[in-house]
Amino acid sequence: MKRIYLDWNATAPLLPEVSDAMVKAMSTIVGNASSVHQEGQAARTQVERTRRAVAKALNAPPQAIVLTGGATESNNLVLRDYIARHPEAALFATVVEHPSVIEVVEDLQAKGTTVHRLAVLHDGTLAADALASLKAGDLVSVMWANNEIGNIYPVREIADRVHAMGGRLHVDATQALGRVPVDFADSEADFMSLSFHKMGGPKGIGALLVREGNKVERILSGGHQERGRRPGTENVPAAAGLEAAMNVLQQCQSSWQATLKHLQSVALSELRTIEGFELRGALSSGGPSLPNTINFAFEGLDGEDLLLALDLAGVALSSGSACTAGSLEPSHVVVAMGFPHTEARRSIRMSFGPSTHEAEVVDACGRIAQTVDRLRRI
Amino acid sequence: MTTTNEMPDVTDRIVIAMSGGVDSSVAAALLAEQGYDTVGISMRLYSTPQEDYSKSCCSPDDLFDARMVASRLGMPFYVANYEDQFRETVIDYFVDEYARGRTPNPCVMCNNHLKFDILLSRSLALGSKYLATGHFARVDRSGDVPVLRTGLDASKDQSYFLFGLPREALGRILFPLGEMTKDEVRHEARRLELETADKKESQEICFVAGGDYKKFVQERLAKQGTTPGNIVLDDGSIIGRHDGIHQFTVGQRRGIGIAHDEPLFVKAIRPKDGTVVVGPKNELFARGLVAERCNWLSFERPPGAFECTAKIRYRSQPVPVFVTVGEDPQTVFVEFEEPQRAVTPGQAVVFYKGDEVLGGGYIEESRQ
Repeated sequence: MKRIYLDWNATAPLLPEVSDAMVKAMSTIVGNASSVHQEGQAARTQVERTRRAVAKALNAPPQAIVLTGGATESNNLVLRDYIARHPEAALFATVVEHPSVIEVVEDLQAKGTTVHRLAVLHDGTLAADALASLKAGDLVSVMWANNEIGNIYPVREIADRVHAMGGRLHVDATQALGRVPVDFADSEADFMSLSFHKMGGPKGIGALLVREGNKVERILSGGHQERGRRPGTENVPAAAGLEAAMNVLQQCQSSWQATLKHLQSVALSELRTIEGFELRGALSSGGPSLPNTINFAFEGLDGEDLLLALDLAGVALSSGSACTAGSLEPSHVVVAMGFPHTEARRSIRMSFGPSTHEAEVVDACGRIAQTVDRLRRI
Repeated sequence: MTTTNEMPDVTDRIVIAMSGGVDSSVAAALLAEQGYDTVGISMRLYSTPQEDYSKSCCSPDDLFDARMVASRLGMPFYVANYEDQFRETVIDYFVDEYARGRTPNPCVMCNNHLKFDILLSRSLALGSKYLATGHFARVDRSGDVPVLRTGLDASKDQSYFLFGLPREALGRILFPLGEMTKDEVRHEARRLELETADKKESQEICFVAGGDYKKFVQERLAKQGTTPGNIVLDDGSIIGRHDGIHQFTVGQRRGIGIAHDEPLFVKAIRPKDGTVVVGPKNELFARGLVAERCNWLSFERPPGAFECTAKIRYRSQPVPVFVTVGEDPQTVFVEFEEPQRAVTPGQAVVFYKGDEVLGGGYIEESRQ
C-alpha cells in the first residue's frame, strides 16, 4: 500500500534542489565561516549568499536578517530579549500562537511581565478590541498563519493599529511561507520569525527579521556571529539548502499557491461527502486561511482513534500536538476556540504541499471515508 | 463487541500492549516472528519527574525502549495517553483505599480499566480483533468458550491480576508467554537480540517512583487529611496512638511502634474512628471472608455454592475453600478449609479449579 504524506505543517519533504545544494556544501565547504583562511571565506560566502537570498525572497534588507536555528529560537530570542531590555513593557499574544511563543510568554509572566492574551472566536479569528489596553512600547506577537487550523491573521492591519498606539509587532510567519506571499517590507512587522522546513527547506535553520529602527541583542553568549545577535558556528550546509529553497520559492510562489488552492478544493469536496464531516477554523466561516491546511472532525469519532487507524491505512495526518514520548494532547488551538476537550480531541489536520498529487488527495479521502465507516460500525 | 474463540489467522492484525519491559517485548517479537500483522501500543499513564528517570516503568525511556523494539521488529508503534484515566481509576483509587484503611491492588484496576477495556477498544479501532499482552497466563480455546488458565511458570503466574477481565473479552485476548518460563523469555529476548533482554524486572507499583508507597500516599493525603486513632488490643484496651490508618496493612508487623511482650500484628483497621486493632500472630487467622464486586469468567452466573481453591493475595498458594454465592452474584461468602492468616480487605480473592480461573472479587472483610 502506497503511503500518502499529508502532514506538511509538521514538516515537508526536502525540495530536490535543497538536498542537492546541501550535499554539495557538505562535501565541498570545509571551513568555519569565522575563519580568515580561504576555506573559511568559502563558508562565509555561502552564509552571506543565503542571507541575500532570504532578503530577496522576503523583500527585506540583508542586514535585517539574523540566521537562527529555527523559528522556535527566533521566537525565544525576540520575546526574551525585548522584555529584558524593556522590563516595563507589556506583552500581548494570541492564545493560538505556537508553543514557542506561548511558553515564553508564560515564563516571562511568571517573572513579572504584564501579559495580555488575545482571545479568539469559535472559528479561530481574533476577537475585536483585543488591543484596547496597548500602550507605547508594548510588544504584540501575532502569527501570520496558524499551524493547526490554517487561519490567516491580518498582520498588516494589526501592525498599523499597533504602531498607531506606539507599540511593536512581532509576527511568526513560519506556516505562511511558501503557501501565501510573505512580504516583510509590506507587512510592516517590526520582527518576523521564520523557519523553512515546512516549505521543503532544511531543518535546523531559521531566521529572525528585524526592521530598521529596532534591535535584538543575543540571549546566548559565546561568539560574534550574526553581528553579535546569535553566537555559534554557522550551519553552512543548512545555509546552502536555504539559499536553494529561497530561489525555488521566488520562482514558484504563485504557481504553488494555485496548486494548493486546487488541492484544497478537491479535498474539501471529497471530505464533504463523508457523513458527520465538520470543518473547523476560518475555512468553515469563509475567513482568510491557508490553501494547504484543513482542520476537521467527524461527529462521534475520537481523533486519536482515527489518526492511528488512518496511519495503518497509509495516510499520515495529525491531531493535536505530540509530547516527547509521542502521545497526543488535544490541540490548544482548538481548545482556545472554545471546544471542550472531548470535542477538541476529535480534530484532525490535513496539510499538503505543492508536490502532493491530486490523485493522492483523492485516494487519501477515500481511505478516510472507509476508515470512518469502519470505526462507526464498531 | 465481537466475541470469538478462535486463534487469529496468520493474516490477522494483532495489537500488542508494550510496556518497554522484556516480557511484552518478547510477546511482540514472537507474534511478529509468526507472521502476524502486529501493531505495538504503549500506554502513557503518568509523568515521571525528569530527575527520577531510572526509577519506574512507563517513563519516556521505557516508551522509547518499546519503540526501539517495535522498530526492530518492523511494527508500527503508537503511544496512547491515558494519564487522566489512570489517575482517576488507579492512582485515586489506590490513595482512597489506603485512606479507608484497606490495601489496594492497583495492577488489577489497571488491567480491568485500562488494558482490557480502553486498550481493547482501541485495538478494535486499529482494525484488530485481538489484543496481546506479556502476561504469564493462558487463554484456553480448546472448548466451546475460552477459559482463562494460570501461566505454566507457577513462579510467574499472573492470572491473579486478570480475574476482572470482561468475560466476553477473553476470546479476543492473547497471552503469547503463557506456556513459557521467565528464563525462556529471557533466552528468547537474547536470541532475538532485543534491546530489553537484560532489563530489570519492574517493581510492583509502577507509578510510585522509588517504591515508597507510604510516602506517596502520605503526600497525596496531606490535602484531604489523614485519619489518626487509637491502637487497641482485641479486648479494646488502648495501647497507643497513630497518626493515620493509611500506614497500616492487615498482617503487618513492622512499624506499629509499640513494645509488647510478644510481637504484634495488625488484625483489623476501622476507618470510621481510625482504630487499628493489633494482636499476637495466632489472632490473625480468619475462617472466612466476604468478597464483593465479583467477576465471573467460567460462568454466566455461578452456582449457589461450590468448592474450589482460592488465592487471597498474589504471593500465596491457592487453598481449598467453600464458596456460597449471595443473591447478587457479585457478593460471595468464602469459608476456608484451614484458617488463613491476614485476610486483607481491598485485596483480591481469586477462585481456581485446578489451573482454571473461575473468577474473583475484592475482599470486603474477614470472618473469624
